[in-house]
This record gives sequence, structure tokens and C-alpha cells, in this order.
Amino acid sequence: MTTLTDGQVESRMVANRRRVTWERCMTDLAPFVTRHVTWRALAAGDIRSKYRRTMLGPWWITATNAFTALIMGLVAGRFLGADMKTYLPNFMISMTIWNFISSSLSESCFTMINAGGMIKAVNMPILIHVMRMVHRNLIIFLHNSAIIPIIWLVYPWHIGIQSLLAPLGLLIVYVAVVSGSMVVSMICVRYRDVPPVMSSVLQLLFFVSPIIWVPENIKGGELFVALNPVAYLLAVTRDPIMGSSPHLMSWIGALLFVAIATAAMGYIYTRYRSRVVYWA
Amino acid sequence: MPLIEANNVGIEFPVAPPNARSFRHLAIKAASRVGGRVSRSEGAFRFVQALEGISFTLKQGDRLGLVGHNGAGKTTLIRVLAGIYEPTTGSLHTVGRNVPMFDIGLGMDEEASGYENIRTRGLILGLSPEEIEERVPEIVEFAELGEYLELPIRTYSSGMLLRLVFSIAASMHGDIILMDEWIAVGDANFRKKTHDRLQEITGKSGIVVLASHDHGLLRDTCNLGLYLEGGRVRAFGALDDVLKELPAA
Repeated sequence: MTTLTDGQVESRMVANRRRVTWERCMTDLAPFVTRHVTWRALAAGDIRSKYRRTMLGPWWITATNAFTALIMGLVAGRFLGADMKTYLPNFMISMTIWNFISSSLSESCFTMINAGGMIKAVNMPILIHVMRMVHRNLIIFLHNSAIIPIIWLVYPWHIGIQSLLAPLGLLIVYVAVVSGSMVVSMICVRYRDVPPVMSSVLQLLFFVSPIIWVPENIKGGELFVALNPVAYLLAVTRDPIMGSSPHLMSWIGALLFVAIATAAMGYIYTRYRSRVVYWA
Repeated sequence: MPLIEANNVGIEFPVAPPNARSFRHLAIKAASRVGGRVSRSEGAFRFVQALEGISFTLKQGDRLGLVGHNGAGKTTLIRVLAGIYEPTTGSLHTVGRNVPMFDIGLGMDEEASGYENIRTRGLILGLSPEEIEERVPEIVEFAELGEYLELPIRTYSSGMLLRLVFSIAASMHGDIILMDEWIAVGDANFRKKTHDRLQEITGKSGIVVLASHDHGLLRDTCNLGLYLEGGRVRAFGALDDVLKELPAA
């Protein structure tokens, strides 16, 4: 779909095996830029709809997260013998970021499947369905992260100029999540037994990522952290917030992972997006 | 100038045998191929040829009536023209913004108000928030729902909902109108409004494609006809000539 010089919209659909060319890829991915208003407004509507007629509205998200923090604070101290002053902030920030990653990936299993009706009835670039889901989870993430300043008030830690790098880390996580969700949702439409696999994978990732543990305390912790892409994503987002500059290796690892994920997503989307309507 | 050019368009729907949607099955198949034996015992994909060899050209001012039995491929062809299905063979070239006048109630949220649903529907149809705001007064006036628009649509009767849905669809501006059966909704008063508005829309637009079984309606609205049978073009040309080819209605 292109817009001609006189403002008319032109579209040419030619059947072939959907060879992936750079030009095709750019055309297919253009809606990321041109249609962002659509999914952002739809996502905001979803959140408003979910929390309609509730007392706190979306701030329930923050409230439940705060409750988790409180429980962890009271209980973990006894179970893990951990030093709350350093453990709780670390855990809560990691957990908040992880919730964004895992809920997006887990919801992505069913995003395209559930949107099947709309995919077969409306000519809308299908990436909008996934982006709507990711944006919804991003809004939830932002509400969840409102807890972090509150924790800082209780257990302050040193914040330096490095904290300004945190949005950059978040951007990297966001791109990784978008790419991952897009690929997973397309695979799940075609192969309907993948969702349970995804759920197991996410469980595994949770335990091998430095969320409830730190590398120093776990035998082989350094190895897990070196091989686990999620650990890199957590590092570039969490470390700036905690006031330390992420290690150069973390940046390299995270950017490399995101580059590969995005390339894979670009290829798979361009090659298979017109087939999704036949799978839905 | 709006234009639709279909050249040997074909649509093949894959129908998955029971295990084809299973990743596990794919893995097993791959493994057995390595062993030198391809397992086809579970059955291969079957294909339904919904459309085959469809070629025609529509220009500014053409109104095409799609006719044929149930299952001939009219709905599939409409959706190909809407850009929902990409042809599996052949090519389709369109110039002009197409306005789908089918499935016009999709994407509505029951708990949201009439106004909010107007916005949602507009977003789904590809409008920007500004474009939607421009159309709201026109929609409100046409639907005649008054204050009900502030209430959640689950409080509406089915007739009221159809009024809202039609008003939104009727406010879309475009060059190519695609209709899968004429829309006739609401009480007698609103039906007349709907009819008049649709006549106005189809009169103003560049190209209209209407799938219908109502010959009288087709004669009123269309100048060209396409008779589909088993996914193939059985006749294409002036509407009266094409309607003559149909078995006696």
C-alpha cells in the first residue's frame, strides 16, 4: 500500500513465494512508524476498559505490585537471610522488568489467534495486533514501576548521572520484546501446540535469570548470566536505575541480541505475514 | 482515478489435516525424512480452490454486481479486493481507498460508550484520531441516538446498535465501496435513511462492488455484472446480460 503523489492510495498484490527483499521488508514494516497512533489508542482503550468501574482504576496495577514488594520485604528476609537494603530494590526492579518481558511473550502466544476474526475481516497490517498487546503491557509496566521511587524512599540507594541511561535500556528491552512477541505470535497461529512450550520456556528463563538471585551467591551464576539473553536485558535497564553504569559486555550482549532478534522478526514477518490470514 | 485490475487472481485455502497444526508432528516428520522415509500417513494438506483465473478491470464509475450461488466465491473475492487475502496466484492492482461495508460491527467493546466505540471503530478502519473527531458530529446526527451515545453499548437494543454501526460505516469516505449484501437496518424510518445514504455513497464514489442475490437491487445499483461459479468467472459484462445467464431466480 503506497500513497501516490496526488494523495491517492495505490496497492499492488502479486502472488509469488513472497521472496524477502529489503524493499518488501521496509514496506511491510512501515506500519510500525505510520500506524503507531492506532495501536496506542487501542491499547489505552483496553486498559481503560479493563479497569472501568473499579475504585483505583489502572493504579490497581501499582497497588498489587506494592503489595508484592511488601510481602517480599517481610518474608524474604527470614527465608533467604538476605540484606533487605540491597536485596529488595534489586529484586523489585528486576521483577518489574521481567513482568513486562514475560507477560508480553506469554500473551503473544494467543494474540494473533484471538485476533483471527479481525484479521479475516479487516485489512489492517497484522503487526498492529501484536503492537497493541505490547503497548498495553508497556502501560502496565509504567504503572508497576511507579513503585520504584517509593522503595527508594524506604531503602535509598545512590543515584548518579548514569541513571539517565535507564530509558535507553528500556528501549532496548522494548525492541527485544516486540521482535520476540511478533515471531512467537506468528508461530503460534501456525503451530497450535507451541503456547504450552512457551509457558515452560518462560518458567525456565525466570529461574536462570538474576531476578531472585545474584550471580555472586549462586554456583555457576556467572555462567548463567553470560549465556542468558534476558540477563543482558535486565542489566542494561536495572543497573542504571541502581546507580551503576552497566558493564560494556552487557551493552554489547544486549544490542547483539536485539539486532539478531529484529533481523529474524523482519525476515519472518515479511515472508509469512500474508499467510497468517490463511492460518488464523 | 480509482481503478481495480484483477489479473488471473486465484485463492487457494490450505485445509490442515488434524496433525498439521502440531509442531511435534512437524518434528517427527522431519526426523523420519532423515531416516529415508517420508511419513504421509497422517494425510497431506488439502487445498480448496476458492477462486481461479479471475480477471477483470473496473474503472471510475463502474458498479459491479457479484452474483452466483452460495459458495461460489463472492465473499472471498470481496475480501481479496479489500486486501484481506493476498492472491495465491495472479495479481491485483488497485488505485483508490477502499471502504469495506461488511462486518461493520467488528471490534466494538460492550462496556465502552457509543462515543468510545466510534473512536475504536475509526481506528480499526485506519483513521487518525483527528479524522475520527471530524466525523463524530456527522455520525451522531445520522444515528439519532442522542444521549445514549454516552452510555455503554451493552445498554443498547440490537436495532440501536445497528444504527450506530451503520452510521460509523457510512461516514467513511473512499473511492471504492465493497459491499457483501446490501445493508438494511433498523425501523422503517431508519431503513429509508440507510437506503438513501447508501445511494448517495454509491453515487458519489468511484467504484462499487456489491455481492447480492437481489436482482432488483442489482439492477438499481449496478451497470456491470460478474457471475461466479465454483470460483471461476462464468460471465462478465453488462449487468442485464449477466443476469440472463443465471438460472431462473
